Amino acid sequence: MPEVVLSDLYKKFGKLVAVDHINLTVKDGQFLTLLGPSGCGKTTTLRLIAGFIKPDGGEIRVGDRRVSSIQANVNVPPEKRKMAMVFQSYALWPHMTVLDNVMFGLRTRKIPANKAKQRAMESLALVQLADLADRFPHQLSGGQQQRVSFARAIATEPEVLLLDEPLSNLDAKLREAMRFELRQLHNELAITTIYVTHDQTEAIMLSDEICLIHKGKILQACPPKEIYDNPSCCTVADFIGITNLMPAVIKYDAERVKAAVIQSGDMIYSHIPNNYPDQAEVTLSIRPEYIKIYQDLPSEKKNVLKGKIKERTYTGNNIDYRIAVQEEIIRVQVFDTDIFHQIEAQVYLWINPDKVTVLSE
Amino acid sequence: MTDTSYQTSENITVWRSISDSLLKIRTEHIVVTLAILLLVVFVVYPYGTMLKKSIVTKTGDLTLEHIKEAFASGDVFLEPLINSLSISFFVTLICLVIAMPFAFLVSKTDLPFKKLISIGLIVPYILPSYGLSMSWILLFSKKGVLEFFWGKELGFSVYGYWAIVTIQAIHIYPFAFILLTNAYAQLNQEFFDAGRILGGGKRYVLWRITIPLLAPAILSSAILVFAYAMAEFAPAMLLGGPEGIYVLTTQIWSFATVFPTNLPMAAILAITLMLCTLTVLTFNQIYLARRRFTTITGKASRIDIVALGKWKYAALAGCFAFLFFVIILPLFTLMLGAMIDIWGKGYGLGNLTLKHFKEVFFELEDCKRSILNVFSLGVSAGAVAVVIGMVISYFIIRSRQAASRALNLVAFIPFVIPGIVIGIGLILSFTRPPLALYGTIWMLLVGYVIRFLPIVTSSGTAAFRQIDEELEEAGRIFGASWIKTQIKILFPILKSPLIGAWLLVFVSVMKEVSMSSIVWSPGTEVAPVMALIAFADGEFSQAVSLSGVMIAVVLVGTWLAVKIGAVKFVET
Ligand SMILES: Nc1ncnc2c1ncn2[C@@H]1O[C@H](COP(=O)(O)OP(=O)(O)O)[C@@H](O)[C@H]1O
Ligand SMILES: [Mg+2]
Repeated sequence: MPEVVLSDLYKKFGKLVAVDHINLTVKDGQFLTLLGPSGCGKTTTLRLIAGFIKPDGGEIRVGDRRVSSIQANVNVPPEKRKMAMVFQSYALWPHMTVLDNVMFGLRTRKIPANKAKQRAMESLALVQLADLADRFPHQLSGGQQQRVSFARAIATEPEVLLLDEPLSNLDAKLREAMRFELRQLHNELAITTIYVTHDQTEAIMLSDEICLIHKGKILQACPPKEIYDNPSCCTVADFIGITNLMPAVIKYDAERVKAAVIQSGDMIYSHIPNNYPDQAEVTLSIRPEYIKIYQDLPSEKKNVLKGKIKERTYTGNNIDYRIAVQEEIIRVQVFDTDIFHQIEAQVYLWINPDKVTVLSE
Repeated sequence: MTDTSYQTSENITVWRSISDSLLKIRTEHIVVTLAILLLVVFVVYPYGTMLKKSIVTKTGDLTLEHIKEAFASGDVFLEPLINSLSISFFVTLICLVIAMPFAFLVSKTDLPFKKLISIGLIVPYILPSYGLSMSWILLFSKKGVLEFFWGKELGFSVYGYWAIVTIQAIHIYPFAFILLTNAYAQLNQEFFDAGRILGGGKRYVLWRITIPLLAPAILSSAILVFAYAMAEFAPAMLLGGPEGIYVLTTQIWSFATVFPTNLPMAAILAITLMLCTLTVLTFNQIYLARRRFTTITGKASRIDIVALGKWKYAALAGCFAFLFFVIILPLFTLMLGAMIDIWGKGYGLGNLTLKHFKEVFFELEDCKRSILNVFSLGVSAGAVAVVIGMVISYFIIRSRQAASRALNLVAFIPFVIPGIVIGIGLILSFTRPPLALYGTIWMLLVGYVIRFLPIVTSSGTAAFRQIDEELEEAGRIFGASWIKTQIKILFPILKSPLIGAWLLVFVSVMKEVSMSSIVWSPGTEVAPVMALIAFADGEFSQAVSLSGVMIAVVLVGTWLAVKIGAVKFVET
C-alpha cells in the first residue's frame, strides 16, 4: 500500500477558499482522520484526492504516482486512481441489487463475471451480509446499507480508501457499534485510509492520526492522544473534548520559577516552554478530569485553588461540577460518583501540573 | 389511597377519549358517506350512463349495433382514433426532445438567468391552448401577421396534422420539463461519483448509472404527456377542423353537438378515449410502483455544475430565442389580432383599435354574458371545490380506514379522465329529472367542480400531510373541543394552500374548453367556448379579444398563486 502526500493543496470556489494550502502525509496503511466543523473543507479535500474536482494549486501524490499536479499539469481521472470511497449518503445505486452494486467496481476492471461474483460475495461476507446479496438497497436498513457501501468499496482492493462521514446517518447506538467494526476491518485489511468526520469522539476512537482542519487550514496533525493532551492552540483544545480555557500571565515566583498567574491571582505551575518570557499573556487549557476536588486543604503545596461549588450535574459515569474560583467558573469532572459535594460548599481544587497546556492566545 | 385516585383519573381519561372518538367517528362517517355519495352521483354514475348509451337501443334492449356501426364506419371511429394516437405519439416525442435539454441546462449547468428561463419555459403551459392555436393561425395564415411584416408569401398551409402536433407540443412540453427538472434536482451527485471512483469512465457511468436512474422519470413523463395530448381538444378543433382532420376529442364533440347528433357514437368514442388514457396511466402507476425503489431518497448532496464555458452565451441565446417564439410572438400576435379594425387591411397602426374589447365587455349580449358566466363560475366552482376538496383531503390523510383509500381513488379519478369524456357523461346523465341540470348553469358548475377537484385534493392532502399531528394533539390537550381545534389550529396553517387551490381552480376554469364545449347551452355560454366557436365561425376580433381577456386573467391568477407559495412548478 502506498502513502498519500498532499503538498500545498489549494482549492477555491469563487471567492471562498475551501482548501487553503494543505500539506499532509498519510503513511502506508495508516488510518488518518480529517476532523473539523461542518463547512471547514473536509469533503472538498476528499473530493480533490478522489479526483472529482481539480485543485487550483498544489499536488497530490499516491506512492510514486502523481495524480494531481498544477505545475506538471497532471490530473488523473477518478476511475484511474485505484481508490475507493464510502459516501455519506451511501450512494448505493437503487436500480441494482446488493450484489450488482458490489460487483460494479470489479466489472469496470474487466474481471470476468464468475470471478467478480466470487470476490463480491467474499467482500459481503466480510461485512456479514452475504445472505442479502439479492436484495435491493431500499430493502435494507440504514446500517446494512452502510455495510454494503463499505463492502462495495473494499471489494476492488483499492490502494487508498476514502470515507466521508460514513456513520453520520446512523443512530447513536449503531454508530458506536460500527466504529468498532470499522476499526477492526482496518486492522485486518490495513488499507491506507482517509476518513472524514466532524465527530471528535469518532476521530479519537478510530484514527492512527487526526488532522484537525479549520477554515480550510490544518491546525494540528498528530496521534489522538497527543492532540488530546497537547493541543496546539485554543481552537484545537476547544474542539477536541471538553476543556477549561483560562487567560493567564507568565510571571516568576519568589524562587525565580516560571508560573502562570490566572485571573484569581493564583499561580499555576506547569511545564512552561522557554519561549514564553516574563509577562507573556497566555491561555491555559486544563481538562476537567485532571482537576481534583478536596473538602479540606490538601497536602500539595502548589496549584491549589479555593473555590465554591455552583452547579452539579450527575451524568451516569461522572459528576460534572461548575466551580467558581473568584470570578472564574471552572469545570471539573469527578469519576468517583459516590462522593457528592454540596452546592455552595467551600472546596479546594488541585490542578495536576503535568496536565496543564500553555497556549499562546 | 393513591391507588384509587389514580384509577379515577384514569377512568376520566378513558371516558374522555371514548366520547371524543365517538364524536370523531360520527363526524367522520357522515362526511365520508356524503362525499362518497356525491362522487358516486356525479362521477361514477355518468360513466355508467355512458356505457349504457353505447350498448342499449332506444327501446332499452341490449345491442352491439352501435359498436358494430363504429367499427364499420372507418372515418368516424378508426381514423380519429389513429389520428389521436399518432398525434399524441409525435407530441410526446417532441416534448421530450425539447424538455430534456432544457431541464439539463436549468438544473445542471452554470447557465445565467436560470430562474427567469425556467419561469419562461413554463409559460406556454399556463397559456390556454386555444389561445396558442389562434395565434398560430393569425401568425402564419395567408395575409397573416408574418406575411404582413415579412412581405412575402409563406406558401404553406397553416392548418392540418403537423400544425396540431406543433401547437400541442408547445403547450405540453413544459409539463415534461417540470417533471424532468424535478427528477434531475433529486439526483444525488454521489451516485455518479461512486461510479467514477469504482473505475467507470464518463460514458460507462452515463449508460450504467445516469440513464437507468433517469429512465423512470423520463418514461413516466412521456406517459403523462401522451395522456394529456390525447385529451387535448382546442388545437385539433381549430387547426384540424378546416382540413377535415378529426381526432377522438373533436369527433366526440362533433357527434354530441353538431346536427344531426349521434349520442351513442359519442359515448362509444368517449369510452374509447377514456380506455386509452386509463391504460397508459395505469401502466404508469404499476410501473412506477414496481420501480418505486428508484425514487431517490436520502440527503441529496449538491449536484456538480457543468461549466458551459464558451457555449454559455450560445445556450443563453438559444433559450431566449426559443422563449421569443413560444411566448412573445404568440402573445404579440394575439394582441395585434384583438386590435384589428378591419380584417384584410393589414396590421398597420392605422388599422388598430380598442373597440373590440368594448364590444365584448359592453355591447355584444352573448359575449357579455359569457364573460359574466365564466367569472361567476370560476369563483363559485373554486369555492365549492375548495370546501369539498379540503374536507375530502382531511379524511384521506387523517383516517386510516379503507373508506379513506376509496375516497382517495374516487377523488382522483377525474384527474385522469379527459374533460370531454366528463362532458359526455354529464349530458347523458342529467337531462331528465330528478336531476335535470342540462341547460342550466348548474350543469357547468358541477362539471368544473368534478373536473378540478383533484387540484384541491392534491394540494390539500399535501398540506395536511405536512401539518404535524402533534400540533393538533397539543391543541386538544389544552381542552378545545375537536371541531374548535380543527378550525383554530388548522385554518391559519391552511390559509395559503386554500387560497392557492381556489386560484388554480379559477384559472383552470378560464382555460377549460373540452368539457364546457359539450355541456354549455344557449344562455349558459362561457367565454373560452364562445371564443372557440366565434373563431371557427370567422369572427376573429371577438374570438381573439375574448381570449386576450382570458389570458390576462390566467396569467395574473397563476402569478398570484405562485406568489403566495401555493404552487411551485420547479424546485430551485
Ligand atoms: N461545488 C461547490 N461550489 C461552491 N462552494 C462549495 C462547493 N463545494 C463546497 N463548497 C463550499 O466550500 C466549503 C467547504 O465545504 P465542504 O468541503 O463540503 O465542507 P465539510 O465537508 O467540511 O463540511 C463550504 O463553505 C461549502 O459551502
Ligand atoms: Mg462534508
